[in-house]
Amino acid sequence: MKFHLLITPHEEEKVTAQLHQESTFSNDLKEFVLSQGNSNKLIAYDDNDLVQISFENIAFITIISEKLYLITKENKKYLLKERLYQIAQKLPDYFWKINKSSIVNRHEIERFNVISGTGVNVIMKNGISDYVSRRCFSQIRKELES
Amino acid sequence: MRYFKTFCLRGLIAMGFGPIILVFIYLGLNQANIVHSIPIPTLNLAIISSLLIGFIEGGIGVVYQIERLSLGKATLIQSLVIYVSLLFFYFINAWIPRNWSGFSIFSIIYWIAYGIIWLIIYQSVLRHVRKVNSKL
Repeated sequence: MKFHLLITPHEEEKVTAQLHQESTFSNDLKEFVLSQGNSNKLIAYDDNDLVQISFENIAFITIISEKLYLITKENKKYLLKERLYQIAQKLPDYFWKINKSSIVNRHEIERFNVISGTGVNVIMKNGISDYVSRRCFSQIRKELES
Repeated sequence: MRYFKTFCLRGLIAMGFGPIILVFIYLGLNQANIVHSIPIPTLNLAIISSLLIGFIEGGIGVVYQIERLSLGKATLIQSLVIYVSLLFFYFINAWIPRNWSGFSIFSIIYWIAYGIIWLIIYQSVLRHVRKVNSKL
């Protein structure tokens, strides 16, 4: 395989790859290129199609059946191929961890609810709800009070 | 297995408080001239009972970590385990009369106290949730 770099200061930057077929390498390369300079988007998968979802459009990120999914405001579900802690590092401050498996966009929260007397649930604007651990709720309270 | 290990670890940490509480109870009873001396077998049983009470009450908090258990069920399991274990040890140590009267009074006091504590926690959580919702 050959490598050819062309420096053109006044042209639009782009990466072009010429391969015999689509492969893991081409998918990794695509993911790498698309993630560069798009610090306000996450790379996700819709079936096998790679898509970019802007942070503002993300309502909820959670683990379902040991896989990490992103759920948008419109309730569309996309697969994420990274670990939750890796995704958490990329997200801005307005994303809150609510338990060990889920992160929510605070702007998409409808309200918090008390359940079973002493537990707390979060209700999202798109209808999704999930429990909030005591530790995470305490951190959310501290953040809102500061 | 993981939850059993957590139960044991929590129990081991908490069990030390049992004998400490027992010391203060006997101190109080002695000061009030209710108890002056205790036979060794009775004292040994009391110490072991207080250790086991501490172990069980401390360890049973692990139910809240079991995600497939709803919070309501976890609370019910915890309250029942504490109730049964306390009843058992109170009876074998004769800390309450071994009759229906003793059983009834203990049960009433226990469930009222549990209800009061639950209500206090509920009000506190409700207040915090309302405050957080107002800031969203």
